[in-house]
Amino acid sequence: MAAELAHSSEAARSGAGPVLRISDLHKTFGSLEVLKGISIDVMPREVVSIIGASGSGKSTFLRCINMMEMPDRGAMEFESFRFHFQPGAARPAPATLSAVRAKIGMVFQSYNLWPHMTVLENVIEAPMRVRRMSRRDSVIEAEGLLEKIGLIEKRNVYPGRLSGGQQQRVAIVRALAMRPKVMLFDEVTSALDPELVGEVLALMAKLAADGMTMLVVTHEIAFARDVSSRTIFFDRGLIAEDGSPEQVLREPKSDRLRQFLKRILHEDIARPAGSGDQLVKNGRNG
Amino acid sequence: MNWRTELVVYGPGFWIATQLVLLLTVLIILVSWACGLAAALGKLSKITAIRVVSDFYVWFIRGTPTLIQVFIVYFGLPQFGLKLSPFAAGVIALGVNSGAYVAEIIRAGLSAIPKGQMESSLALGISRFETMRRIILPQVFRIIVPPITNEAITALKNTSLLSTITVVELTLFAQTIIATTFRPFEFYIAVAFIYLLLTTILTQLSGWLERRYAAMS
Repeated sequence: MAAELAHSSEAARSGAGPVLRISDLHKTFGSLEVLKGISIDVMPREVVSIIGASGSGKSTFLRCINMMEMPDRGAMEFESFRFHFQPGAARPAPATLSAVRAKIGMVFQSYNLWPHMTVLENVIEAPMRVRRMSRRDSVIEAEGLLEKIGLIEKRNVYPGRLSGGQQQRVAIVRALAMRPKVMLFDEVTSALDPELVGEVLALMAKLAADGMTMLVVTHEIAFARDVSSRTIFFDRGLIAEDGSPEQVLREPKSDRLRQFLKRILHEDIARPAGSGDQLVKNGRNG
Repeated sequence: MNWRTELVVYGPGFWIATQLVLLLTVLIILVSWACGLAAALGKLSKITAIRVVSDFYVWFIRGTPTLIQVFIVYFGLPQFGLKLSPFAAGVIALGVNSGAYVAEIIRAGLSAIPKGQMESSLALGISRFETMRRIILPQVFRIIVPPITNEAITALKNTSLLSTITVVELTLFAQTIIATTFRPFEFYIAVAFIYLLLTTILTQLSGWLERRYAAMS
């Protein structure tokens, strides 16, 4: 890969322990227990696909990692940060939250670009405000990233003028501009028109190849199989299966996963002809 | 006297009164934005006391006549040792009054911004304050240009109420002339047209801002 998008390499190459270590994470909304004790170690450069039915807690899990939702119980280690969550415990200080979030990039289903700022302004905002970079340096970095994803000519365009796929790629670059150590993807292709899914998945695949550590909540089984190094099946707030994509997708142990895969793959094939991107096509044939 | 002489005699007085109306309006709008933003954010506060005070403020102001509020500030407060000039009392009363309406406009604007806008900013590590200042409020501001202009127009027209507490703005100035000329129709019509001119300028300004923002998105 000529142009590297990921900056996670230094920690990754040291080959030490997990980047992210989560144990016994619980989260309850009202009377609904969404996460019932999630434990996972994520190693550097690992690309973890998280699959599961809606309501199984996948998205909530991602949102707990960067503490957009505060877990009720459990523990998390990330770099030098150690968190122990308990009911009634004080929330981490705003500065701590900011420091953690700055190093954990997140991309959402609905892109959430800021419509009143141009593409370039969207990308440089956080580096300037959080990393305290000068405008000049931020612009240089941002333009470098936009160049690599082929959207440099759109730098002075407002997001409303871009296609969904372009917006989502800008959203990914906006997160990358913070030089995150881990990237979280929350169903980032679900809101896209089928013909735009491919360009976003391709960028994520490239990012994976560049060594970024990624947690990807997805319904794209082909992505889970072809790109990720590990696949996790969430079921009713717990990790039901966890292993290599081959293991989990080809030899599901539980009936629930088998049923889930059947449903998902059926939908996949039921897509209008010609809408499938390369990854999905490969997946179907192979 | 023909109309030329009248223009020479009363023109400068009308001009001064008009300038006073403009000055009052600008100050009232500034006070109303400060009060309105504070109350709108106060309504969203996690602290119950701040929320209760904000709710009470909006409820009280919107539920009572503006003229009574002006009287409370100008005639009522001196009983507690707070004696304000008519001008200051007018700016405070009408500014605080308009602020309650501005608060509702801003609140509606805030609720129109998708939750994801704030989330994507917080997720990048941007602080809550910077997120408000850089991401949320600029978007709110665009949405609320039309209703906020309406509110500014109301504030401008409400300055005529200050004639009752001896601020010599357009209305009271006209009344003093009418007292000697006994020609209420011509002079009130003249006053009406001056207000109309000012409010039309505000409407045009709002339209221009809207078009500019539309181009920037």
